[in-house]
Amino acid sequence: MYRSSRLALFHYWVAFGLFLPAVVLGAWQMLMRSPLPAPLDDSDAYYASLTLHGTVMAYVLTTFFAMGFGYAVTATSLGRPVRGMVAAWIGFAICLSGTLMAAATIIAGRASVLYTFYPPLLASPWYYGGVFLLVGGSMIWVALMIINMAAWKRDHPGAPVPLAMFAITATALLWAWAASGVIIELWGIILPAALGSTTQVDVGLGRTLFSVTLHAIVYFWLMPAYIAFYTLVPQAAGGRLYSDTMGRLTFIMFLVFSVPVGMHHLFADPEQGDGFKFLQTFLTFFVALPTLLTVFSICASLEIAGRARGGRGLLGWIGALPWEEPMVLAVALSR
Amino acid sequence: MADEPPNPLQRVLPGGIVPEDEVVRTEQRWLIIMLGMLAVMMAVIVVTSLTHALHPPSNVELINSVTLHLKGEFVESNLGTALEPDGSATVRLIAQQYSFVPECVNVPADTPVKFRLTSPDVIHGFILGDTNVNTMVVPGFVSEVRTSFTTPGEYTMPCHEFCGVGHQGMWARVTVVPREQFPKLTVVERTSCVPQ
Repeated sequence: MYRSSRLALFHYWVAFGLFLPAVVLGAWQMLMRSPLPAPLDDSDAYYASLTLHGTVMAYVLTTFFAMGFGYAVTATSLGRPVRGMVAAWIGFAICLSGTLMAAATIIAGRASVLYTFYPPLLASPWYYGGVFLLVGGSMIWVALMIINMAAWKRDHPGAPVPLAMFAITATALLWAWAASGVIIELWGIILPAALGSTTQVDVGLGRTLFSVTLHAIVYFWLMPAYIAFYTLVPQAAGGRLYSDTMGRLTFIMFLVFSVPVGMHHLFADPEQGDGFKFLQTFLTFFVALPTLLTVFSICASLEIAGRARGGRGLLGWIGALPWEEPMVLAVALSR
Repeated sequence: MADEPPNPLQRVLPGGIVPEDEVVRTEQRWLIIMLGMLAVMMAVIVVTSLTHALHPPSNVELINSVTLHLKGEFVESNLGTALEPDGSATVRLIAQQYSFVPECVNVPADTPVKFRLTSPDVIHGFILGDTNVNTMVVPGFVSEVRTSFTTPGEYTMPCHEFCGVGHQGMWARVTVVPREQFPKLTVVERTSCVPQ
């Protein structure tokens, strides 16, 4: 178990080690765009910093945090060490080298195209190669989540998979689908152009492929947060989850409804037709369902905990919650 | 599975604070409320799209971005504002790194105006403050948006999609003049308010 914890912790170190400088860059970008005086007023530096900020926040922090969280959830919810430790460390190494490659290229000023790429703007192929390794390397993690869940099921025939493991596997499948957009765009459109083997870029196709990844990146960090809501908070508050079935339903809904959701970022684009945009409006709205379910389940779970601790009356249970528990305070406030 | 450890998430609380059948009942009630909320929101979308005749820029019209300056409607002499035989106005613009061509266009007030834009290089954006005009300009496609201006005055149109290091300096103007002050153009004439 110690080796599983170390694996998860190394992922967190990379995630938060890069998160902090990216926060500082964000503050500087805010100064640059405000009437306040900003140090180093230079548009080259501004767009390089914007690219680094976006790349770290959207790809590096998200991917490394979700991977580390996934390994931690696997070990704790299944109550046994993560299987495929060697593959996990190889994945970590691939993702880390991709991160360093992309970051070095941005800092050298050779990749000021923002994390959304905007082809036919072109950066150094080292930047795209780095992002490709980072996102591609996380597919090893996706495979490991599925393998760990399948192995546990084989060893426990007939028993339901623990909710946390069920949910992290749904997250892995969601990410596999979501990342396919950016992987295909990089491999099929951007890298050939950046390497000079093609001279024409299909911009409409590139934007459409990227939209598959763009919004779903949000779910890649939202799902770990929801897993914490469903599995850590009820226990930390001293109660129980209101309904296990609703929890599983929520994660299945997220998996299904997040598939087309990125298309709403293309509503002002000329390469998508009216009817398709109209349809996508509805598909985007369906994501409200799992969110509304979660609001209900988590509030109900906290109420159970509050009443079990002696809270009485309509709102008395709120005060009875163990607010001194960091898990309860942080997650309840984040709702 | 008798030898399985009990799932802590499903343990029964002392005193039966929430009986199982109560869980099922409240869940079903909440499901109905949820679906009702979603149905209302979707109905609002359908009704407003129909009553406001919402048409996001979606004409899906292809153009060869390599030759558009040589032939077709986006040659230099055809850019700017044209008056159509039916009295409406058509504005043709090119968005390129880092300017709009022409950088100032004039249109008559209280007149249907159609903007047609394309890009020879990278992705740009086209937005007019206080109006419903907002579209991406994607190389290889012609973006078309329709509007009409009721208030004469000057509107700024910044590029609102990142297009390179000069992006923040890329913007242009639309000058709306009362209809009677707008020049009488023949079918082939084009006008703009770029200082000559």
